[in-house]
Amino acid sequence: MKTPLLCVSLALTVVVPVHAENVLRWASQGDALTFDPHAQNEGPTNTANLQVYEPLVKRNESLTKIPGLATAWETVEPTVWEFKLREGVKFHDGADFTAEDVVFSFQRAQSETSDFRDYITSVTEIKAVDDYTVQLVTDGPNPILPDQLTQIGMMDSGWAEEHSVTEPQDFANQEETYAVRNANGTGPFILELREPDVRTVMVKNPDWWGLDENPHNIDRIVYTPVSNEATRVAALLSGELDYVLDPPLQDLERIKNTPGLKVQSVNQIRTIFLGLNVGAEALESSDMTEANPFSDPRVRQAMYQAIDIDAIQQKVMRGNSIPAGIITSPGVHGYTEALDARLAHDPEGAKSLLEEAGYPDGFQATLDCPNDRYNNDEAICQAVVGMLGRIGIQVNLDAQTKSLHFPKIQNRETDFYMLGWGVPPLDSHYVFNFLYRSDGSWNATGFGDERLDELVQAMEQEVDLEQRDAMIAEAWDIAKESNAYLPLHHQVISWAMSDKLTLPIRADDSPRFYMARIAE
Amino acid sequence: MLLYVLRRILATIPVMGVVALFVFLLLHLSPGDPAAVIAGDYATPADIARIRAQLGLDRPLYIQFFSWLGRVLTGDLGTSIFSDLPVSYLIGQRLEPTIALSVLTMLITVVVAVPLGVVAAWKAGTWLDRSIMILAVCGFSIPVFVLAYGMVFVFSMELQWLPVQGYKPINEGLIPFLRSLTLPSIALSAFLIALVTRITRASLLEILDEDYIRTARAKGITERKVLMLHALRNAAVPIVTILGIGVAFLLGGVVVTESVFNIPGVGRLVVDAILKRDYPIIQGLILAFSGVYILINLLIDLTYTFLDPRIRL
Repeated sequence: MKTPLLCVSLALTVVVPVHAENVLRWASQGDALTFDPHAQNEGPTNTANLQVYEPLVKRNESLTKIPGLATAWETVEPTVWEFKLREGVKFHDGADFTAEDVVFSFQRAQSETSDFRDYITSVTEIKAVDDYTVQLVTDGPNPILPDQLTQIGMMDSGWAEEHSVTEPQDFANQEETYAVRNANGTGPFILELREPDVRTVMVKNPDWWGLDENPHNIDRIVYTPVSNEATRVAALLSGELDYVLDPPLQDLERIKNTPGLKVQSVNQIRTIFLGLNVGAEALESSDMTEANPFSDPRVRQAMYQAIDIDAIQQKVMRGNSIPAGIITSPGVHGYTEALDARLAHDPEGAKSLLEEAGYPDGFQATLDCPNDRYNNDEAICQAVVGMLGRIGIQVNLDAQTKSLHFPKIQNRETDFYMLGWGVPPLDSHYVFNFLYRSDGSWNATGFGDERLDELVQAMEQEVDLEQRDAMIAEAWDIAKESNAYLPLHHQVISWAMSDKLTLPIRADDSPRFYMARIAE
Repeated sequence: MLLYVLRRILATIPVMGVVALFVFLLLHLSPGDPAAVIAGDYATPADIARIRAQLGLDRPLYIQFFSWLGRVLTGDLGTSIFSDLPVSYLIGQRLEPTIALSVLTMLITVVVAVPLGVVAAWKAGTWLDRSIMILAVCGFSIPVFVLAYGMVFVFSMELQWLPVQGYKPINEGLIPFLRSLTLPSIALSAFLIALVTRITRASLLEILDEDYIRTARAKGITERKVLMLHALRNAAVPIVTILGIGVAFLLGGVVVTESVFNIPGVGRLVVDAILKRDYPIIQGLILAFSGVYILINLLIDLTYTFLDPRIRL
């Protein structure tokens, strides 16, 4: 009698395995700065927050807009967008998600201390029509408002009031607010532990509304920031990590050749380019004190054609880049392949252009470059310096850390600089607004064109999509013609991970872990 | 003796004052704008100006300095620009890993180096002495991070005996704690072992030539007892001095080691803060490091009275 029972119970232990927890351990260079969803508009911060908090409109892995906490949206009047909210959604503490929370969240995102204000500057009023309908009123017709909402997470107004975080993290009062290390969202993961710069742990939200559509099996996510590149790769190779967001380019081959690991790559919505000070009377950093060589279009074209971007792609980027002809990438509305065609690499032609322009012996200039922001940024600049040297332009390279480099651009203290531009709303207007408009805040080229300024203004409010596209196309033609920026390439991002992990790569370099699966 | 200690402690105040001024000026006069880093990629100059004003970075330098100094004297080290957490809290949180690493490193150093130095002195001139000295030279010459990565490659990646990175606090178990600190403390102690071995050997050799040692041997005391009881105790003063200086090396080495092994200690905290220009953390930490160094050297000076009764303070 005992033996069959013993056999059966033994058999059961074999047949019914104990379900171990699926833990996803991952690392990247920089930790999120805060868990306050409206405080810091920055890559790693948004990635972390958007696992826990959700926006009204989301993007799927091809970056197409899909319903998030809003199930449908339309313009009911030229300046009024109406959003229908998803019903039956609960925050992690059990509170219901309603229109009141949406109104609160947008108002919070518009406050002085929010870094997300710029996305919704056009919104003048937010109204709750009923518990599950919200209207956003804009100051003029805004055809791309839904695109501008994909980074703004929804908070529970009740929770915020209870913990005195109705304003986003404020640097002025220099006090840590509750929302910095605690979160209460509607998202697929719940924040369990937050030790800034040490460890962040999230657990699965078993009541998430999206589990049917996205049946992920990640029970726990443990994130460790590892700023040292070699250590990060070593940890992946030794099996201590399952996923590294930003493996260094020179280790990609090694990772690909390691059994049990794989690399996924995709072109990022970020283009790297060089800006030229075309507006100044004379260059500060050059030996040409009487004139500004950059103001001559022939000089700019010569510099463009002196750069052998294919060589840079092969040697510097080891194949991980896509040569570009304009300063924005595929995936951004308004981009076309025709626009992305580059001028031919032609050092001889470049030299004659320089002679024609009156610089047979070339000239000197200083190139400002970051050394810790873009993939192989300093190495690209070094290559460019070499190539320009061949046509007679002596370039001094000044490569610095990003906290020193970017203020130079913002304070207009550079004549020749490298910059990379990502486009969260995925619309060309974002590029024109910051980089080409004569008073664009990141436009240190001094370039200004009346017609282009007009077009930028007009496309902000044009609701007829065909008309708007025509405006965008015309603006790009003017922009491309000017060569105020010399396009280099679209960045390619690569994610390295264990073979057991399935996680679709996204061109915005921001993983969504509810799309991940760990093989059993 | 008490008077001596008090005098020494008072003497640290002007030293710390100079350190504070130096650190403050170095940071604020060097280029780099934390407000720009906080503001992020898509910020406008107006955003950055607003953040600068909020942080008080637009006030004249001397006002910023005295305001900071005043707060330090009341125990308020300020708030991190980036995380809004009080600096003293951050330091407190990150202290455990650094102290654990430092203590373990010092333990390994003393346990390995002193016996090695004694053996080298005892068998001076033989192949044993030569090999130990060769090891010492290697320990001096190999940079910490080279040794660190070499060990990671062999022990973590190939043999998979020890973790590549990370730190397990002691409350998660003694074995994981020790495992996570093994490679870092070995990497860090190599230089110190080399140093202490050589000093121990040199110091002992000098003493072994002294008359009283010859007397001890003549009395028939075993060589072992001569070494341990008589020679070593007299050689202790230089060894302890070197250990005090070794603390300075440790403070610097901890920075590199924590970055390589991703240990969340104050070393890594200061590196991250420097890269982001998080002034309050950098200032607070450098003050703290200087304070620790001064304190440890004071303690070492005090131990001299126990080691050598001839030294009166």
